[in-house]
Amino acid sequence: MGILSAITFIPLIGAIIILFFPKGKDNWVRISSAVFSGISFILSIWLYFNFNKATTDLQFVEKFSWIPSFGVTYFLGVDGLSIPLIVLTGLLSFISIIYSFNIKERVKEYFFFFLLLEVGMMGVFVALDFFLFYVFWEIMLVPMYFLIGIWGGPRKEYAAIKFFLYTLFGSVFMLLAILALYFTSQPHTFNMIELAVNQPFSRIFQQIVFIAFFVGFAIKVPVFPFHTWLPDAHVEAPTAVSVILAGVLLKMGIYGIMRVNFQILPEAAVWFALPLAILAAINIVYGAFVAMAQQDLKKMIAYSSVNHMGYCLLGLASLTAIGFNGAVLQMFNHGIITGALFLLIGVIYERAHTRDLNAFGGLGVKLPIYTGLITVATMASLGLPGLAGFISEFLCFLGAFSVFKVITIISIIGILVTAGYLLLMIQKVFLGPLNEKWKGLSDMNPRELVSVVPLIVIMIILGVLPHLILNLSDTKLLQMANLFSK
Amino acid sequence: MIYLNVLPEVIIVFFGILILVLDLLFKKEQNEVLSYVSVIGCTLAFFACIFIFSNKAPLFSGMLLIDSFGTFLKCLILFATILTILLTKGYEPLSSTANSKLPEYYSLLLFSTLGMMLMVSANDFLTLYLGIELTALSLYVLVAFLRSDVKSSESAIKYFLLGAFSSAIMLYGITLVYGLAGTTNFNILFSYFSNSSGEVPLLLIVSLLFILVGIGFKIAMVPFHMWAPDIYEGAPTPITSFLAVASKSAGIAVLIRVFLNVFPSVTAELNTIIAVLAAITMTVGNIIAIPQNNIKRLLAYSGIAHIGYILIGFVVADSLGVQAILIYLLAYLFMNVGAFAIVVIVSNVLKSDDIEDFAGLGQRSSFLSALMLIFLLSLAGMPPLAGFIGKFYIFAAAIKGGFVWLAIIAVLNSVIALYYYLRIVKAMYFTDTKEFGAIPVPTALKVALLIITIFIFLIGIFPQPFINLVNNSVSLHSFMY
Repeated sequence: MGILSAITFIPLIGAIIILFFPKGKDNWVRISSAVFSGISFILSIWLYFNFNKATTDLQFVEKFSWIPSFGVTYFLGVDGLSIPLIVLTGLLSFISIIYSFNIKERVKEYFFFFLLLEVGMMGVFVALDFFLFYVFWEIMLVPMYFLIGIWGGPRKEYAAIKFFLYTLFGSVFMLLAILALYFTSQPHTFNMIELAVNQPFSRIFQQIVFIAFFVGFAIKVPVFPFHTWLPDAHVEAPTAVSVILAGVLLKMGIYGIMRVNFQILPEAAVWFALPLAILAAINIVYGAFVAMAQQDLKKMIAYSSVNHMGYCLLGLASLTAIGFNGAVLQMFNHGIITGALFLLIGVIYERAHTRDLNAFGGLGVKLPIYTGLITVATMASLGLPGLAGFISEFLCFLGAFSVFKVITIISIIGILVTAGYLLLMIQKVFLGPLNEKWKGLSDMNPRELVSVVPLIVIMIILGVLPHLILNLSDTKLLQMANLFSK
Repeated sequence: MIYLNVLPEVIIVFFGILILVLDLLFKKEQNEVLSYVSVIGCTLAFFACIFIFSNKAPLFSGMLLIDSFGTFLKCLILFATILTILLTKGYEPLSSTANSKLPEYYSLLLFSTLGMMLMVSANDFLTLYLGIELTALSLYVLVAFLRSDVKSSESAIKYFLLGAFSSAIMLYGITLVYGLAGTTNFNILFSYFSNSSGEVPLLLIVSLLFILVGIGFKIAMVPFHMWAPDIYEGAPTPITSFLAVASKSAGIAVLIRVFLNVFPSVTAELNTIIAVLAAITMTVGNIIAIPQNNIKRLLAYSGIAHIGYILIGFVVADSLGVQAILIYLLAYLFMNVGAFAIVVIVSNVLKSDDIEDFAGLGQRSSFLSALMLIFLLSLAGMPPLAGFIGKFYIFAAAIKGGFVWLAIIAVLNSVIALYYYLRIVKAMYFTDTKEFGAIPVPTALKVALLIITIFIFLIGIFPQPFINLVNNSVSLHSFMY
């Protein structure tokens, strides 16, 4: 078994093993989930250090015939595009599982679904055969449905089914597009790499298939008119699941656009660059303003994701290497930053049982460690230089400005508004006189610190040394940008 | 020995009569034995089918055509019969040893299986009609088997009246064909109408429409589907699953043989109508399934929708389309019978079939609810389960055949379908229950569930052997491709 299969399926082995634990051994379940997810994480770190950054070739390839009569292969591999996301998935899954140790209800099921979710997410990023890709893409929906629907907030059932139906709606079109590619390619293939080389796809065919894929991916990102599942799912989901939703699931959409729409359908990508940039600007500005209007902390961060994914899209739409670099780095940074923010909001919610922005006040005195951490995360989110978010946002705008001047300038409004509502949030919750109601709040416990602090540290490190991630994907993204510079 | 090719049919006839004879010899308390006898009969017939799988032979002066397409479907039908018997053993209203009519039940079940086996290898309208009637007459009685239950009797009467009516329409179509060509033999009909060059006679189109109505009724195609929900609800659950799986498979096989093999030129004329009917069938089935509260009715409507998907393969009318249909039927057999098996187990304890009864099943029996979840997700077409491979094949056939609009309607429908399957999942997992009593699973059903689950995962994860099987049965022997 190759390293990529190991990373993907070790959580599945863990999931199956914990099913056989006797009832009542909840701690066994917790620890073994952490162990299996941890092994997967460690392997992804190993992958990070052994990845050859100088080449655009696929690495750690595993390829076996699976369904010969349809030419379906079990084809795994990584390149510069997927490697940051694999590390991100490994990290966030492990951290979320640690954070989830406080789950007390139906523990075994929870960790079973969580590990299954990790299999699906890893699989999407390592699969290079469309059939396999689609299988992983769909596998992930079921555990997510249960995680939101069983352990979520008051409107969990609605949020869960909305998430499931919305995503399925997108992915069935993707399935048709995959089949269309298969039957049009010469020779017929599901191989995502072969499909990107010298295929007889006419321009109109590319455009139709582009739209079908884009709907599937845009729902995941989410791009503006398809975003309505996101606030429901993020708000109702339990903390750790929100982390995964924002940290990893949204990235699948961007990853899909870069892997499929841009590399397999480059001609259509050029044609759709302007609409994409406009959608990106709407995401940025609209997401920021809606976030500003929220009274619920979690909803605010959820909408800030719409805004932040807009930056990624803007970087993509530029079709330049700088923009691509910005988008990839922004994916990673958003995963870290928003992941940390969701964890921190979970921390306060568990103590105060409210997330109302106006219910707090002056918590800075009472919870110094917490306030410190959330301030760093917030500053990173609004793009303060020196922290992770700044560099990626800057690169996205830099790439886009060379192509779409007006749209980029309009999008800048989003940055201002984001800074506005995040600072306002800090002020309302942590500054001013202490609201007497919250006298009894305790600061963060070790479990919470263990899950949040690594993310904060990464934010600071990446703020100073962004090339730790940028170097990974630079070569690959340069090659991608060359597709469009003709 | 050319007559070895009807060995499966002979075995079923033999065992059907044997059961009636044994009934006279055994005491009422020993009726249980007869279920084993019928399982043995079906298993033997199943192996006989495998034995003759690659044979092709016209028999009885061309009345029957044994080919691997038919034999594949016979295997499928026999498998469905075996699972139905296992379900019956676990179904309390029927399995109680006091039920003195049980031998007749098993005997009728075998005879209706025989009817289906004749349907799928009929090479003449006469044998075809005989097969259809043998199946239908046995099923009318089986549907009414819960004699103390008013619903069961009511549904049997409905089934009988509507079934007889549709058979009559079909028979009328057959007589018109006979009037045109002077024969009922498929081979002669094929050469007769393919030699007469030029326009397809209007009367032939009309007569085939009549035949389509008859078969459409058997497979519950919209607008001939009205009977299905009522009859599914009233019939004993094992018979419902038998109707839903075996009877439909046989009907689809007849549709393929008559329309694609014998009258391809007419089918080309009717193709648009059938495509539209397929789209309507899946949409109506799925939309009406949403508000259903009785799980058997819900599965009836979902079954109608599945027929809609299957008809896509028929509309595409090439070998990929027929392969897709066979793969789909194979997957449908396991996932649908699986769902009905869970319904049997739950209704044994709760005495009703409402979706609300599934509330909290996740906590009462995580084993049963997990299996039901797998069956429902497979029905919804989620990978890596059998249903996904079926859907994948159907969509692939549609895209390859250029029916993109039909494929789009089908995928939108699969999103709708997920919604009502999730209603059951929601009841099982998200709703709390006050009852925590254990739910006993009869041994026969444990065996059935084990087989079904293994196949659902096998077809889903390692579909290649099944694809090979289907490819062989389509490509080697059917006479059109």
